[in-house]
Amino acid sequence: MRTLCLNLHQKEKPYVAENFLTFSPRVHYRDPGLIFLEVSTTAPLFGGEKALFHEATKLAQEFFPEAQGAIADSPSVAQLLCEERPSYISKPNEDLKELENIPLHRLKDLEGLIAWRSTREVEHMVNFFSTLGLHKIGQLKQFEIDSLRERWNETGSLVWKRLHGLDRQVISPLTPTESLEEYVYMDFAVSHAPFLLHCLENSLNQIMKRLQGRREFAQKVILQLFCEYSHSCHLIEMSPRSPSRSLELYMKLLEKKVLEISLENPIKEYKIEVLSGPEKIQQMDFFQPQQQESEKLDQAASLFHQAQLSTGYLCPKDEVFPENSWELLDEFEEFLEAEDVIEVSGQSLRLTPSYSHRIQQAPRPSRLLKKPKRLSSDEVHRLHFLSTHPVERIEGSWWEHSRGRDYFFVMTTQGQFTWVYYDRIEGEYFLHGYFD
Amino acid sequence: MDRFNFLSPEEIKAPEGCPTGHLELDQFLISKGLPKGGLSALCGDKGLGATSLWLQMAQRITAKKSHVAWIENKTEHINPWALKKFEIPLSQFFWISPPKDLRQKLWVLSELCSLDFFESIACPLEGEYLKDRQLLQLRKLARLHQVAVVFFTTHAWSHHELEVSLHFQKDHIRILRARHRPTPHLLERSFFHAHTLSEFAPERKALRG
Repeated sequence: MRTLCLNLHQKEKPYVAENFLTFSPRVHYRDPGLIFLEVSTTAPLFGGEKALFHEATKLAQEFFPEAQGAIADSPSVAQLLCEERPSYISKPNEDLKELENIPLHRLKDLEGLIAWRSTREVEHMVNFFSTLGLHKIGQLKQFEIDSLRERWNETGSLVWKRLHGLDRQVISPLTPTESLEEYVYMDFAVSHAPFLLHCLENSLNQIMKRLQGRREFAQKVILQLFCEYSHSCHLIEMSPRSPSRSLELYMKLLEKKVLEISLENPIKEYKIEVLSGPEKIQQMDFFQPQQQESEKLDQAASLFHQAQLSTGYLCPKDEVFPENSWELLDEFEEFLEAEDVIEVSGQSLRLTPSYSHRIQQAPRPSRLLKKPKRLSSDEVHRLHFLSTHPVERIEGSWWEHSRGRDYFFVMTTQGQFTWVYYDRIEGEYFLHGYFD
Repeated sequence: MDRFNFLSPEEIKAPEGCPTGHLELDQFLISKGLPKGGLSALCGDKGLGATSLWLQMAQRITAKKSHVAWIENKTEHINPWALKKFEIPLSQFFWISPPKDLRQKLWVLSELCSLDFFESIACPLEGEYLKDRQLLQLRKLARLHQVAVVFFTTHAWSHHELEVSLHFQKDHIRILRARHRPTPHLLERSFFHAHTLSEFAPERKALRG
């Protein structure tokens, strides 16, 4: 077993271990700020232990600048090396050899997943052996387990086992159970939007890294900003068009919302809560860029969606009335054109004609009025109809409220080419679009 | 004069443009089409062919697998059936509902430009006027991201921040503004809908008996 030990050098909440699930499913957090990862099976995926170590420490240092790490066979030796020789990767199966020349005072760091029962006992042990003239950990190997147990009980036998590589510590797979939320109480109330956004970005980034570890996407982000005075609170909810864990997207959404609120009553504390959903899995080509173009568009669409704007792809629809003959889709779908179907069965033919086929071929104006504009008789007199008979007759079903329409191509005196219909029920002309 | 290293006329590279398909117009403009990385205005009453010119350009852009965007206005909507007639793949035509005001419209435009995704963005202005600094800001964005931003207005509009301004009139297209070209300049208008009408010729004949 190969273990990576990261020392964050500050006490953290146990869920910080979720950030590192991308490197291995077997992750363990122990106070104060120690993270152990079993990397023997996952290192080849990252291109070796060195590359994995580099990635993991980079992630740790993003949030904890003083974080250090080391890799060894057992968690206890990895922790010890992390303190004595930061960024060191020991050779496999040479843990005991590594311990030979380590100074004796480092014995207190030979813990791993299970801490010493009492550090005072270990310190006493170190002082005792120092007075005997022993200054290297390797020199303790000459003592029998019974003699160590006799003097320091359980701790004595544990030291002997760890020195001889007999204390097997197994890192179990981590199953995230903690809710995805961050609560921050600020020392000084904030009334400056860019500074508030900076604080929020840090917190949101931590949650996004946890989501990455969990292989989940954020469906909704709920932010509560608690004001310093009068117990007032601003509630901000963000749900992008499709679930995502892009910090850039959420910061854009957040920026727009935060700039809308008044910070006259400054913010003293805030809470971010994320409702997560399963990750979108995509099979990508080897040379495909990490951020696909569609992702960019998704981000913009989410941004517009938050500003109450609809976006998407137009799709024609088989409807009789032109104003109903299209719809807006979030995701593009190919429009299947109606075609005549001819089925041959033995010596018989069956023809299913598509009646809407001709409508699809009919000319349609590029700009349709959302609401047809009624034309006064004066306006109609000034128009130049290009045909005496209608070029197209559109009629609804007789059992519905039929709005029988006779369409004409019409030129205005300014040379505008328009689409006008005569409503046979109302007996009036309406402007319906422009061949612009 | 020897101290200066002037480029020969052949070495001068014209700014890149998106061809409109209107040969005479493309030949006239230095960018051989509406300029990429600049602002253009297509002015004139509806029904005179401004949208068709942009759709012809969009068709050429989408044929190269690039994308275009259309920001809708409040009174009309673009008809997807007409887009099909122009052979524009609807998967490369991104539609945005009408922004509530000019401020939001400018924000949408700047977001779309900065995506580096669209080659041209069409934006009808509904009697709205853009201020100098707004135009300058948009022009910078368009240049940075190499987008051809095209405004549609009903009033004749010529502004120094616009690379090209065309005014569609009954019998011709008046070029109000075009960089490095003598303006105003008149172009004969082709009767663009003649083709549409010809499609209906048999039906018209039948109707008339």
